[in-house]
Amino acid sequence: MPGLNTARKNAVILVVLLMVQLVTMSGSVKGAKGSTRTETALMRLTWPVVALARSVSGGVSGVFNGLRELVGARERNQQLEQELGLLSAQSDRYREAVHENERLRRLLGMRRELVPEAIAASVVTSNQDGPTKMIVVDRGTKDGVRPYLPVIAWGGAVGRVVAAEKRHSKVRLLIDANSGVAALVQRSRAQGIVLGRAGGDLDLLYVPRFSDVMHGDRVVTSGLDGIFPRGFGLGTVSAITEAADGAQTIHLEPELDFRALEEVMIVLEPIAGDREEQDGEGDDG
Amino acid sequence: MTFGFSLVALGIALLVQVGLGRIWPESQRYVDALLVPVVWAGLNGTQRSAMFVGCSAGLLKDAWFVVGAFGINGFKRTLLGWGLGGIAARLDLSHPPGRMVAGVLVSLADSVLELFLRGLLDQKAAAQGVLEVVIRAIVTGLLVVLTGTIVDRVKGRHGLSR
Repeated sequence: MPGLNTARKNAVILVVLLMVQLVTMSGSVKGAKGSTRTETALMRLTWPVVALARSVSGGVSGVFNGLRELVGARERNQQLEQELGLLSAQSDRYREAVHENERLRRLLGMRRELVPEAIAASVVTSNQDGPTKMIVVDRGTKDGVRPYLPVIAWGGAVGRVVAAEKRHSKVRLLIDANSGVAALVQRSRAQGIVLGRAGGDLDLLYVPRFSDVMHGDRVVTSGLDGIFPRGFGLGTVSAITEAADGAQTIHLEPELDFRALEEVMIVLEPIAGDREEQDGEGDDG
Repeated sequence: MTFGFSLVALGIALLVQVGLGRIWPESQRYVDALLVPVVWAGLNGTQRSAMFVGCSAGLLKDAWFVVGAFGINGFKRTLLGWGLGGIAARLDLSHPPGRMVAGVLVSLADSVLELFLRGLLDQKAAAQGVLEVVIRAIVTGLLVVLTGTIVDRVKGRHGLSR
């Protein structure tokens, strides 16, 4: 009975394959070290295909965008020239304000926050419609990227590096259901934790009942988690509900359009002043 | 379905999935190109080749599009390849309606298995709408039919028989 024999062999192969993957899966879920060896090998092996897809899609997008931008470029040029005139005047005023701010900070004896060292990275692949929300960026361990580093973009916080390979890294977005970041309401300084929701939005949780939070308030990173620098935008309060235990659940409209992410910044240096604490955490984890 | 053909199919699927995701990010919600080689191998190859193609396609998806549970898609798609390979050995599904049905059913089973496995691993995941799952299943079915039509034409032109 060769047919039965083949079926039995296939069943054995199936069981072996499933067992191996089950072990890999559980190791990947439990492990905080980043990616497994299989994952690393597979990503290295298929990197040329992804790089090709990236360049081809970049070319196609470029052609479409070029055509779109060509239409109405003259009007926009005139508009931009006018805006430039206004902005250069504003820029002088801001420069003065920065100097004044520096002086006041020194006077108040506040700790001057160092500008974190960061590198720019391009988004290679993005998956925001599956069960997990993540991006892969083209910077890896050779650029100094390692797990736990915060990722930001112009306008707000993006997420956290969860796995770093030689040439690329995986970033878990803030809107992923397994993400969390310490946050505060910019206006009232009420603190809480922003967690990703299963639906792809954000919730501000663990805010005391009597905290002053209003619809439209801007929520930013507080820096208390020792990962994200302080002051990066997370979202705007769009709904407030009160739980039975007295804590408020605040729904946020994310500040960033995560789908439009093309370039991000990976913050390579821990938050100034928190360096020792973070190193200690890294050793544990 | 030869080893070389499987590799090429997987490479093309990865290329399409990455490229499409960069040009039109919302497409990831409805298009799962990495499921097409699994269905194709199930319908046209042996049960064993379908398992291996399923395993490879799933792991590729895990590596480039999933965070936190490496192996979840590999596990699902190995199982799906095995199941479809077994069914296709008994039923003739190598015509367009059969391919369509196979594509739709494998995609639906993939979504159900995803929910089950994430629950088992205690992983939080974004809820997938029923409409979204159905559209993705139909798109997968259509992609399998399209792939079949293209491969049949190429084979016909070169006078090859399956």
